[in-house]
Amino acid sequence: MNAVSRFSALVAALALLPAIAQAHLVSTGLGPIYDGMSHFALSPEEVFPVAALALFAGLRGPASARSVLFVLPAAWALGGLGLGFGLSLPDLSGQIVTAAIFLLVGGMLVAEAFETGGLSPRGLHVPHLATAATAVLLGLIRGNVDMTGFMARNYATAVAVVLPLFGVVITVFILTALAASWSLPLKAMWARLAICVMGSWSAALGLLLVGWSIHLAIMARH
Amino acid sequence: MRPTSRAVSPAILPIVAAALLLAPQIAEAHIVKGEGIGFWSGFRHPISGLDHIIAMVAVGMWGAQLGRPAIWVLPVTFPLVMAIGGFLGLVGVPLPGAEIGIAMSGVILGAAVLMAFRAPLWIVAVVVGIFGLFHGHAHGAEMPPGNNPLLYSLGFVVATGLLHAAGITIGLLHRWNWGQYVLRAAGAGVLTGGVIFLWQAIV
Repeated sequence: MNAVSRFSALVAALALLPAIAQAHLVSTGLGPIYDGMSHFALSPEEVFPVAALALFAGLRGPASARSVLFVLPAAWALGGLGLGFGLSLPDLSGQIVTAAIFLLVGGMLVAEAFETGGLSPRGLHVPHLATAATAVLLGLIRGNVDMTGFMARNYATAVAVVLPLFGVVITVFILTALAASWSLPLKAMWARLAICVMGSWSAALGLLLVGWSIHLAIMARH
Repeated sequence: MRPTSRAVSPAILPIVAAALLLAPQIAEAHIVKGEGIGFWSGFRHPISGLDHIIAMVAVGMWGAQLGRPAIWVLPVTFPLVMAIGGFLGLVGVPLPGAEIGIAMSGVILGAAVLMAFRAPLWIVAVVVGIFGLFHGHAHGAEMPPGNNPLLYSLGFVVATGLLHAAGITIGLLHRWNWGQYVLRAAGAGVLTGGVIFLWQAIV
């Protein structure tokens, strides 16, 4: 099975999993590491931005792909462990934060579309540093949100709280590696643009989520 | 050299089958209120109205007919502007004449495909963008209450994108002489549908 088929199989398997966003940690019965892995796999607000960012990094070249591959899981771990050590951030689990992440990552892919298609001004592109910074931001936010949920689970020991986070970080690393290695060798313009078009869907999704948030706030007020 | 196959390997089938078997039935502990409850309800929304379907397919057909860069600029532009329209609809900003605008999108886009109309890219993008705003606003204003905006919106955006992809696929017939006639005939079909919807919106 070649890389494309393997990636397609993974995407198909993920798509076939029940798409219910779990506010609480899923219990697989296989232990905390697998609980963390399944938590990630069942959280579309985490899976899609990670896959999109990794695809973008792959399109940007080996340097971006390598940096995201290591920076994103590290930031995820840092965001979670930081909370464990008392680093408390404002509540980042809100829909607006999720929307902002989708908008940011989708916007980067749209910018890449214009560069790939030759419509962006010469020399104007998303710098490697911005890609890495986005990975740091995404990792810190989602790691923090995940750890908040894990700590509410009342695990027996402090180590047991970290294990689900470890499971999430492993899965983030695997998904990033698969997605980036899939888009990295793509040379055909249509294939690169197809990925970028899907990025515009991510940005559109972010915009709609902002609308939903305001809509729900208005409904709640009435 | 060892030949490589581009066909999807049969080895995928056990993985897909396992995923299907492992997918548990979800037991809902609470009664789900509203229709905006997940991916499939969002997915069904754009494909539930023929006026939306013909316009979105026509965007893809026109883009393919115009070739690069319109073939990818239009599918990038439309969902983004449509999401802006959806945003305005969701937050309650009124857009007068939305139904007429939607029907007009079928008329104008159908006519453009029928006549293989060519224009500067920015004009094409603006035309498609304006219609995207009308379609998005209608969807946003009609979005049902629900408890999973993320999955609902995801299904909504994916369905829209796939309608464009269907249009682009049809539009690729433009490469052949006979295909150009088929494409123009499809444009005539969209135009006819647009006129009918416009009549319904006005009367």
